[in-house]
Amino acid sequence: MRLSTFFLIVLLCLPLWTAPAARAESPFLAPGIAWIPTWNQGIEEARRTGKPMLVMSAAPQCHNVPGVW
Amino acid sequence: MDRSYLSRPEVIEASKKFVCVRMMTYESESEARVLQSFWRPGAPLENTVFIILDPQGRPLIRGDRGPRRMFRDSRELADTMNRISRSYKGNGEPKELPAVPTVRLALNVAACDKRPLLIVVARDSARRKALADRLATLVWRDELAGKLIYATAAPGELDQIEGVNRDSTYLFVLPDQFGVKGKVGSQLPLTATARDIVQATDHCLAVYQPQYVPTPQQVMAGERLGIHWQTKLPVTDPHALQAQAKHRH
Repeated sequence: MRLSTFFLIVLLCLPLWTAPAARAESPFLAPGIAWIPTWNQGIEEARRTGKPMLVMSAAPQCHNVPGVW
Repeated sequence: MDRSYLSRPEVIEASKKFVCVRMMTYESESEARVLQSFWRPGAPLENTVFIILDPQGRPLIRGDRGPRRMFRDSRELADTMNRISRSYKGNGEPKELPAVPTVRLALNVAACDKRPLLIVVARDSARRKALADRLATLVWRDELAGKLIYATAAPGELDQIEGVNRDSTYLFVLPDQFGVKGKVGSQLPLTATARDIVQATDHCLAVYQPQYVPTPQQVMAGERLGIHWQTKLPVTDPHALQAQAKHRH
């Protein structure tokens, strides 16, 4: 196995949260709702976690102009 | 989308006890079928749909066009959410990266939300999946939850992004006003740590200065510049079609 491939495998096996603790809160733009963007992922996570679902759908365009809900 | 309710702190706090799903209307056939099953089955799909479901996907309150039509104010929505969540012993956070299916769509969503976009870049899909899974251990924590839009991509799918380095793995993108282009706000290599990613997020949130343009002005500006979004499915919202017809005459 090439050294670079070995290094990559080891790196990918390490969860990111083992890295040094990050700062708690950004002082900038306030966080919003943490949305899941697809139905399949959402229903899978709801079944797994046993949490109810808040579901919204919106068109990311108006008069076919993008950048606005 | 009804930001006046969904961006309120009490609703955001209550949303932590829910799995929150926001789909993009007219961008997926299978999702359109799901949405139509929740509100006015058989009627044309409207631009927005809102509903609260149990963990098996069964309605707990009837669906409608948006929370504003169902709740007096955001406090009432938050109270309803808190009451519902008390009936479920849900635990744990989602496991997967909440990635929008394509870079094109993710840029648009990021522009709509006025948030930076974080793209995980790798050549092959297996490596992208491994990197996305790794990033997913971080994105549901308070440091990042609700701050970014996510996508995964191969290097060849980044034509709309200006300033990409060849060795970037975590690409933070600041979308333009219309979400059709973006420029790099920060980029990190494969070896980036959680701290690097949180710091890059903070940096992008600090430097990103989106334009908050009222919808009519956004539409006029887009039409003037010839910016056109082609939806995957035809728009069927009667209100939108009526407004478009009026607008043309």
